[in-house]
Formats: sequence, structure tokens, C-alpha cells
Amino acid sequence: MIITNIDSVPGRKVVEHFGIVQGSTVRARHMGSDFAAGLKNMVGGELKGYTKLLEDARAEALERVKQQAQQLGANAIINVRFATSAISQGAAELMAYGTAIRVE
Amino acid sequence: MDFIIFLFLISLGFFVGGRVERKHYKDIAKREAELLDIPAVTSKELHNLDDVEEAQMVSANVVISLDYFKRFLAGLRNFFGGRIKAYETLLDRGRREAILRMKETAKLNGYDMIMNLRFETAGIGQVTSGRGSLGCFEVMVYGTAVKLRK
Amino acid sequence: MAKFTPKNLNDHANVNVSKISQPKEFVVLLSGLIGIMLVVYLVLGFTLEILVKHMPTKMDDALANVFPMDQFETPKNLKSARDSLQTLLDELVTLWPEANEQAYNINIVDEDQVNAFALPGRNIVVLRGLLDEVESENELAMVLAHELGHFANRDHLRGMGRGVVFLVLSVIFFGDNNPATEFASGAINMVSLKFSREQESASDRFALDLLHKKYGHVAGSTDFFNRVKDKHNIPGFFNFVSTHPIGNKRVEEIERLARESNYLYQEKQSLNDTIVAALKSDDDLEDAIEVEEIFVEIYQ
Repeated sequence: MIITNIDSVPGRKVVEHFGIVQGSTVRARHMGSDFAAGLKNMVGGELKGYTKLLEDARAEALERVKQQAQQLGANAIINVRFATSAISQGAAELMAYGTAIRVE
Repeated sequence: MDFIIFLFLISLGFFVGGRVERKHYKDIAKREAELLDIPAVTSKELHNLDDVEEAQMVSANVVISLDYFKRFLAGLRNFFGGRIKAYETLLDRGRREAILRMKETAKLNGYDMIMNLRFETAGIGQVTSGRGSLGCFEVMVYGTAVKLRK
Repeated sequence: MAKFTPKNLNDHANVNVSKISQPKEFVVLLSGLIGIMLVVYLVLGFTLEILVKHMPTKMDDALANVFPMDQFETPKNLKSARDSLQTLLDELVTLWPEANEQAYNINIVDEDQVNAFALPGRNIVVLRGLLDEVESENELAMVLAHELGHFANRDHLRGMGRGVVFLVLSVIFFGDNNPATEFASGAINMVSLKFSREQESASDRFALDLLHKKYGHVAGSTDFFNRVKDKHNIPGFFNFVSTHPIGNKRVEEIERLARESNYLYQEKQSLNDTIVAALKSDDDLEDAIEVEEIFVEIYQ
């Protein structure tokens, strides 16, 4: 599955459009990483636990987009966008969406 | 007693947090020089797309937080208004770090450049409502990495 | 494709970061905050002082309805002791002209801790532990007069007002998660403790005068404080020393006041038999009645 965030797949010709595909996941922070983050908050710097958590969550959202595209018989997704929104305290929705296409 | 803890945290934040930041900036500068050969652009079009052999989206993220001293300072600034330098450096560091990570991924996979670079920034702290989160941000960057035909 | 010229930006000229010295900013802003806090605190204290002074007793009584006073009902086995305490209190109140012939109510709560509180609605609550410590009527009168002194100075209202209003203000301005709020409330606690000590000594002065009016001398005025002050290590929230800071200084201060007013020390009166009897029988019964911990430190 080729994924791009531009209007085309460079070097390939678009044969068919299938419309929008999207995937999302809602994640909450857990106590362990919260505690570590609380400690790290004193001195500042990167909160590796959260970075990993959000990275994994976004990978999952993107994986769901890919699954939708596969169901449509696409082999590429173009114009992918990400969106993040806080659902409640400590929980966030991570979303990805794009256009499923078939390229040569 | 509370006051002693407060003073301890403030000085811990100021000295350790300041050190962490200087070290990070040094690291960023070094890696930026190393990855200079992988350009990242915000344009969607290249003039000769035929040269592209392969394209794939790449992304990177980083969650970065303020130290106690800067958070206190930002809290004060929130009251008085004005430029919050603490957040400026935080976001500057976060964005540049994220770009570097994305470039590193692209380089590792043999890509030559990144097109249509986009940023996504979200505050994730204890409080994400009301007055906004206090000092904890996620910066995400993504784009389309392309391999040029040689 | 156009030619790409790799170039790096110089970090020393980072346009995204303001050129501000943070330690300097910290000092300036913090002194600004402290200044504002001080002004608000003074204005608040001033307004509160006026409010408290001119607040009609009716409103005080209305406050009593807000707080559940029936929590402090005297248990049956201590009823007779309560009645003798009430008699003693009434005698003290008649000697206090500013009381305007208003009745003050007393209740005993069956708790081992040594403390007494002045509560809204002209209510005094004495914990049984305090009665266990008391050895003469004079020192008991001193403690009751001390609580009356809190009413005379309206400390029971003042204590509630300032701290609460200030905390509310800082939460409104900074938000409850802001470290600046923590700082503000911490600073206020430090100031409030000092404030409380002044209230205590004002109450002591009042009590000493009342004691002199009652007995014609001030023997026993420091007995209770002397006995309790060495018991700092008694654990617990209900402890007298936790809400009434006692030190050698306080005892010395009372003695100095007595000297200044040329108060004499004569023979002390023994404790009323009903109180002694009630406490004895209580020890036998040992049916301690649990009291919910709704006391708040600010009540004193």
C-alpha cells in the first residue's frame, strides 16, 4: 500500500478513485506513564512514554485507513491528513483520513 | 515546608531543565547539519515528477514538556499577558526534533527528499480544557518521502 | 527540478525564540504577583474587618444554620457536666457587658482530644479531653473566657472569610492547575498562621480581664496552658496546640498582662462536683460516641 500526503503518487499513474477512507482510535494515558511523566515534568524535556504512546496510536489509525482501502480494492492512499482531538481529560482521538485510489 | 519544596522544584527546574534544553539544542544543531542533504519542502508538486521512482508517507512525533521553573513562569505570564518565551523554545525544540526524526526515517529507508511537509500540534497535559494545557505538547510532522530516479 | 542548496540556520539568531532573560523575567513577574497579592490581601482584610464588625448577630446565627450544629450534641452521660459548664459560662457572659444579654450555648463532645472551639451562632464546643486536663474552676473559666474572647473579636467569622476568599480569587485568576495558585495559597497559609497568633493573644487578654471580673484575682489563668504546652507530641487534628499555638511566650505574655493590670493571685476554686462526677462515671461507662471529623481548623 502506497501512502502519500500529496494529490498523486509521484512516478505512477492513477487509474481509479474510490473516495474517502478513514481510521481513528481513541487512547487514554495509563497510570504508569502518567507517573513517569509527572516526574519528568519537574525538569522538562521529552516524555518518551507519551511519544511512543501517540506514535503507536497513530500507526493504528493509519493501519485502519489501510484496511478500509484494501476493502475497497485500492493499492494506494493519497492526500492523507491527520487530526488529533482531546475527548476528555487524559484521552485523545487520533484520526487519519485520505483518498483511496488504484495506481498502475 | 511547602515553600522549601517550591524553592527546590524551581531551582531544580531552572538548573537541570536549563541544562537539558541547552543539550537538546546542541544535539539538534548537530543533527540538522548531518541531515542537510535531505531537503524537506512544503510544496505538493515537483516540476519533473517523472524522475520519482518511489513515494511513501513518513511521519515522526515528539512529546515535550516544560520544566517546573518554566511552567511557573508561563503560569505567571498567563496572568500578566505577553510573550511566553518558555513555550516558544519548547515548541521550537519540538518541531525541529520532529523534523529531524522524520528525516532520519526517510534517510534510513533510502529516500532523497520529503514533499508536502505538514505540522500537527496538540497540547496534551493534565488539563486540556479551560485555560489550555500547562506545558506539555505533542508535535507531529508528516510528509511524502520520495526516491528519485538516478 | 530546481537546484537545491543545503543551508542551515544559525541557532544564535533563532527568530522563533524571544530574546528575554528568563531569570530576570521570573523576578519581575514574581514581585508583580506578590505585590498584587499583597494589595488584594490588604483590601480584602480591610473589607472583611468592616464586614465582620458590622455583621449583625442575626447573620451569625444564620451561619450557624448552614453548618450542622446538632453534630455537637452533648451525650446523655455528660448532660449534668454540660449544665454546670453552662452555669459557669452564663456567669461569665453576665460579666461581659458587650454580650448584650445574648445567650451563649455550650456543648461537650465525647472526644479524648484536648480542645475547644468557638462556632457561629454563639456556640462553644468543648471536647471531653479538655475537661480531663482541667483541675480547677479558675482555669476552666479561663478557657471558656478565651473562647468568648474569640466571639468578642469575631475571630470565628474572620478565620473563615479571608483564607477562603483569597483561595477562590487565586483559582479564578490563575486556574486551579496553575503553579501560581499553589504558590499563592502557600504564601497565604504562612501569613494566616501569624494572624491566628495575634487573634489568640487578643483573646487571652479578653479572657484575663473577664477572669479578674469574676473572681477578683487571676490565679489559674496560666495553669491550663502550662499543662498543655508540653504536650505538643499528642497526635491528632483535634489537639489544642494544633489550633491554638502555645509556647512559653504565650504564658509569659499572660503573666505580663496580669502584672501590668496589677491583678492578684489568690486561692483557686475547686472544680464543680458535677463535672468531676460526670467525668468519673464516663470513664466507667466508656461508651465513646464517634464524632464525625467535620471540624475545620479555621473554626478554632
